[in-house]
Amino acid sequence: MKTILRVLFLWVILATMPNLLWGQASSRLVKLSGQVRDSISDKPIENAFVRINFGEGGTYTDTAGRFMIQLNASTFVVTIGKTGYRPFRDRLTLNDNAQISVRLIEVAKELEEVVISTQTVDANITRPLLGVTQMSIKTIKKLPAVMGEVDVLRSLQMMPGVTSVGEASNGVNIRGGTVDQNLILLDDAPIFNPTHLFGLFSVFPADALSSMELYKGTTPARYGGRAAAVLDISMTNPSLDKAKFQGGIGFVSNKFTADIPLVKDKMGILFTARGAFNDFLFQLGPERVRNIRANFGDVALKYFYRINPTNTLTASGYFNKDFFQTDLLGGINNINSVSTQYDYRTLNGTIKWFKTFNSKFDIQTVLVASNYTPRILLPEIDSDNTAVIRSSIRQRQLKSTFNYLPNASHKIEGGLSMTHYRLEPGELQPGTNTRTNPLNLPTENGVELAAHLEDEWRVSSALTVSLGLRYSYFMALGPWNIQQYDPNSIPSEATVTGSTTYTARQIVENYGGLEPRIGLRWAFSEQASIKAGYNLMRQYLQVISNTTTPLPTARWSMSNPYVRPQVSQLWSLGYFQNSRSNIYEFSVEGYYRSTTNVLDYRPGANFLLEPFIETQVLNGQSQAYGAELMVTKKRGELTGWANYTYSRVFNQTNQGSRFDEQVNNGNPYPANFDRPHNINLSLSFSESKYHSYSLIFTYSSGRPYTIPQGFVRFQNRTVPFYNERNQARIKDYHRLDFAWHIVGPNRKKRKWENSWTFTVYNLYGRNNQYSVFIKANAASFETFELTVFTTPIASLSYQFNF
Amino acid sequence: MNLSKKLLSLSFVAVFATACVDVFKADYDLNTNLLTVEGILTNQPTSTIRVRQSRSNRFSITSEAVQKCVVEVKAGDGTLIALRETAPGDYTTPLGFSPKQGESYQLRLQTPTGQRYESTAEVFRAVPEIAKVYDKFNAKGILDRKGIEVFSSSFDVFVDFQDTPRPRDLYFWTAKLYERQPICATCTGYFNAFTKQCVNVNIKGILIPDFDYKCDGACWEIISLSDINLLSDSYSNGQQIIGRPVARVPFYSEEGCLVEISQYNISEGAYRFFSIVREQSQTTGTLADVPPSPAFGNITNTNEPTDRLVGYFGVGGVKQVRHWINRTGYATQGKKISLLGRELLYEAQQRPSYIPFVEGEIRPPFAPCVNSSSRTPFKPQGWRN
Repeated sequence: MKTILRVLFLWVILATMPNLLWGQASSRLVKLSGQVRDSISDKPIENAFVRINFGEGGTYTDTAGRFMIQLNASTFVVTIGKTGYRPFRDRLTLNDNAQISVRLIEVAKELEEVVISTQTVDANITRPLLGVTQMSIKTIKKLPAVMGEVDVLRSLQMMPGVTSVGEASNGVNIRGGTVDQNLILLDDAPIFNPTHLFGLFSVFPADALSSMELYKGTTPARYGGRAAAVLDISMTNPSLDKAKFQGGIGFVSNKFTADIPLVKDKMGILFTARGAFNDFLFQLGPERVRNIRANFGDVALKYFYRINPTNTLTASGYFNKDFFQTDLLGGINNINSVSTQYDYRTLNGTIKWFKTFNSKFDIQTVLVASNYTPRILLPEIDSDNTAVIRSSIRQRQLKSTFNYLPNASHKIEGGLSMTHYRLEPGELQPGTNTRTNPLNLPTENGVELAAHLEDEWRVSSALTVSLGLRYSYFMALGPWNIQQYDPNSIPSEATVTGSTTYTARQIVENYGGLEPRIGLRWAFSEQASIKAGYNLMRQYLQVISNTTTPLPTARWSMSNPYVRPQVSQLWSLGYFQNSRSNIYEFSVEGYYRSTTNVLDYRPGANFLLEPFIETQVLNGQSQAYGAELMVTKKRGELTGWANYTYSRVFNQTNQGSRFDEQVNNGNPYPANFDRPHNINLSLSFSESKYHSYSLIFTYSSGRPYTIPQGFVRFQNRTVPFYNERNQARIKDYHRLDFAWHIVGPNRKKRKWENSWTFTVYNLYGRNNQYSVFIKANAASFETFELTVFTTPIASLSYQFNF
Repeated sequence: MNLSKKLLSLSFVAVFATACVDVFKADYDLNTNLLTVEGILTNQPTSTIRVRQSRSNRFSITSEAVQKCVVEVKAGDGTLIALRETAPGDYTTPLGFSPKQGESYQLRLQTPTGQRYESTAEVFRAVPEIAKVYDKFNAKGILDRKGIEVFSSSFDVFVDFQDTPRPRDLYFWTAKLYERQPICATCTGYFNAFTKQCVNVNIKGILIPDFDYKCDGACWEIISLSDINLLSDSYSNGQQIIGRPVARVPFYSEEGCLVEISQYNISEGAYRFFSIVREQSQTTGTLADVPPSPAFGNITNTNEPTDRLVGYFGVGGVKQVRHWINRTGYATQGKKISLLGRELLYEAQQRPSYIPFVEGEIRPPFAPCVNSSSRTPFKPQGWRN
C-alpha cells in the first residue's frame, strides 16, 4: 500500500507541475495569432491544433495555416501540432497581442531519437544480419541511471536477450551465454572486467563514446575469441575544427571531457576522465561503514591524425582503476590483516592505421595491447607490511582487415590477426612476512592465429546473403608443466601418474577449426523481411569462477590439455517489419544455441593460487533457446520501445559416474541466469528542447537457486543437504525508474550550456531479492534473503559543455 | 575465495544502506532419508565413528542411531581393525590402537541390511603441538543474525604453532567451552524434588511459565563452539603459524571460563568434506555465493553407485590444550549475554496452585547436575576457582 501511495504522490506532483509553475490567467483579453508551416517544404499546414494550457482552450489553423485565439493576459503553455508532426510546445507570457510563426517537423523526416537498431532508417530490413543492436549514446544518456551514472551495460539490459543475475552482476548474459563469453571491445581493445565496484557501474566513459554495437546473433567474421556475443564500443574521434569541453558533477562521480583540435582539419585529441572520490561520505554514516573506502576512476585519450586524404592514424589509450577497502578483519591462511583492500586496473592501448587506396578498396591495420591486473592487498596486524595477491592478463594483438567493394552487389571483407595471451594466474607476495612463503604460479602463454573472409552479396533486390568464414588456430605454449592423471579417476593430487615439462615456446596443445558465419535476408517489400543466420564461435580464454557472478579477481585460464575451448553454435531466425515512414519497427527473433566444453566445478572447488586448475573443473555443455519480440518507436515527441523475451538456458555436466563428476546427477539444470520471462519498456517524452522525461520498467522471472532437500548433522551443526541444482527461483524482479532532463533552462543563448538530470531509481521501492540463502549453527538453521536497492534512490547530476 | 565473499558481503551493506538481509520464510519440501557417517581416526586412546539414519520431511528432521553395523578399518598394510559398538550407533576403536604416521586407513562399513560401504584411503599425519594459546577481548565479536548489530562481545582465542616441513598439512580445530552453570533444570510446570524430574503442566487457558531451578552443587555446561575452522599450509609450509583464530567465546559472564582447543591435522577426504559443509552453511549470504553441490563425502557403496551415503571418514593426529580465560573487568567495555540466552525465572516464593503441596518440602527445590555430553558436575581439569 505504501508503494502505491508513493507512486500516486509522484504522479500527482508531475501532473500538477504545469499549473504550479505557470499560474492562472488574469482578466484582460489579448489576441494570439500566427501561422504554422512545414519545416522543410515551408508549406502552410492546415488543420493543425493549437492548444492552450493542455486543453483549457484551443483552435485549428485554416487553409493558409493561420490561427487566431483570444486569451486572458497571462502566462500560457501553447501546444501546436498535427498528426505526423512533432508538436511544438512553449511557454508564452502575453501582456499584449502577439504573433508567432511556427515550423513543425514531420516526424518521418526528423532524426531518430531512439537509435537502437542500425545506421540507416531501414537497415533492420535490408541487412542480412540478425540480432544486431546499435544503441546510440544519446539514447543511453536519456535512460534513468543508478545515482546518475550513465551506464552502458545497464542500458543494454533493456534490450531483448540481455540479462544478468541481479543488481551486482559483473557483466551481462546474452542469449544464454556466460559473462565471459562476451567479447567486449573498447576501441578494439578487450575489456576483461567491465564494471566498477563489483558490478554497480560499468567502466565505459559515456561522454567519449560514439557508438555501441551488440552482436548477439549473426556475428561478423572479423570477430573471434568469445562464444556468445560481441559488444563493440567505439570512442568518439577527436574534433578537427572546434574545441569542445564538457563535464559533470554527480552523487557518485565527477567527470570532464576535452575535445581539442591540434592542427585544424588534420590532428585532434580527445581526453576524458571520470573519478569517484566521494567515499569520505562513509565517515558520516553508521559506525560499521566508517572505514570503508571505495574509489574508482577511468581515463581515456584518443589521438587522431589525418596524414593525408588517404591515410589516417588513430591512437587511443584507456585506463581504469578501482580501490576498495574494508576494515573487516580478514586474511588468507597465515596472513592476518587489519583490513582487506581490492585494487584492480585495466590499461589498454590501440593504434590504428587506415589507408584508402580508392573508393573500392581500403585496409585497416590495428595494434592492440591490453592489460588487466587485479590485486588483493592485506595490510598485516601490528606491522607496516602489506601482503599482496595478484594476477594479470595481458593480450597483444595485431590485425589487418581489408574492405573491397567490387560492385554494388558485393561487399567483401577479409583479414588476418595474431593474438598473444599471457596469463599470470596468481602470485602471493608476502613482503616482509617471513611466515608466509612466496608463491608464483607459472605464467601461461598462448597464441591465436585467425583469418577471415566475408562477402555481403546482394543476389537480388529481395535476397541478400552474408557469407563469412573464419579460421582460428590456438596454441598453448610452454614453458608449462602438465601433469598426467589416472584416466580412470578424477584428476587430483592423489591420482597423478606423471608429468611432462614443456620448454619456452614449445607447443603444449593446439586447437582450431573453421567458424562459419552465415546470414540470409529475404525482403518481401521495402518494409518487411525475413532473416536466418548460423554462427559458430570458438573461445580459447575463459574465466574460472563458480560464484553467482565472477568477481573482479576471478581467475582466467586459456585452453590447455584439460580445459578445452568452448565451441558455440547459434541458429537464428527473424521477421522484421517497419511502418511505411520507418517510425515504428517491429521484430521477432528466435534462436537456439548449443555450446560444448562449458566449465562447471567440483564440489568445494578452489581456484585462488591453485597450481593445477584441472583438478577443480568439470566439462559440460549448455543449450539455450528463446524468442524475442520488440517494438520501437523511433521518432516523435514520444519515443521508446517495448520488448518481451522468452528464453531458457540449461547446463549439463556429466563427466563420469561418480557424484563429484556430475552436477545435478548428470541431468540438465537451469543456469544461474536462466530467467524465462523478460519484459522491458522504455518511454522518453521530449516536451521541448529543454525538458524531457524518461521512464523505464523492467520485469524478469526470478533467477534459479538451489534449495535443500533435507538436513543432516555434522560437527554439532545442522547442515542443509543439497542434491538437485537450481530447482527453485527467487522472487520475480521488477522495477520502475524515472528521469527528468532539464537542458539549460536559463541560458539558451549563451555558449556555456548546462543541464540537470534528476533520476529516481526503483521508483516504487520494490524489494528485489538478490539471493536466498541458509545459515546454520549448532542449534538450528535459518533462511535469509539478501535484497539490494530496496528503496527509491533519487539523485541529481549536473552536466555542462562549452 | 572466502575472503572475497566476506568482502563483497560487507561492501554492499556499506555502499548502499538500502541493501539488507532479512529472514525469509521458506517452505521447503523436505524429503530425504540418508545414511550418515562421521568420524576421525586419531591418536587419542579411542576414536569413534558415528552411523546415523537422518530423515527429513515437511514436519520433522530426525537422526537415529544405526545399530548392529559391522565397522572396521583397513590399514594400508592389510591389517583390519574391528570397531565395537559402544553406544547406539557409535563404533569405537579398540583401546590401545593408534594409527601410524604415513599409513593409510580405509573405513569399511556394512549395515544390518547388507549394504557395504568403503571410504577412500586416508593417510595419517601427526599434528604439531600448540606452542601458545591466548585470548583477546573483542567488544564487537558476535553480530546478530543479520550481521549488523552486536549480539555479544567475545573473547577470541588464538594459537601459535610450528607447521611441519611436509607440504599439504590440513589443519582443523574444534573448541569445547566449560562455563559455570547455576541452573540445572528448566521446567514448563515444576521440578519434583523426589523424582528429580520436571513435571510438565498443561492447563487450558493458563500460560504455564518456564521455571529455572538452581543446581544442588557445582555444575559446568559443556558447549561445542561449532564454527568449522580449516587451514591448509599451502602458503606457509614449514613456517610458524602465528595468531590463528580458533574459537570465539561469547561473553556469558565476568567469571572466568575454560576452553579446550583440539588441533587436528586431517586427511584430504575429511578436509574436502568440511570445506563443502562450511561453504554451504557458514559462509553463505554474499553477492557471490557458490551454487551448492551434494556433500556426499568420501564414502561410497561398493555395489550400488547410485546408493549414496553422506558423510566422511578422516584420519589425523590431534593435540589438545586447555586455556583459562579471565573475563574480570570487561563488563563495562562490551555486551554480555545470558548463558541460557534469556533472563532467569525462578519459581515464585508463593507456590502456584498447580504445584501439589508436599509436607515438609521446601520450594523451590534444587536440581541435580546430571553428567552428560553437555553438562558435568565434575570440575574440569584446568578450572580455576
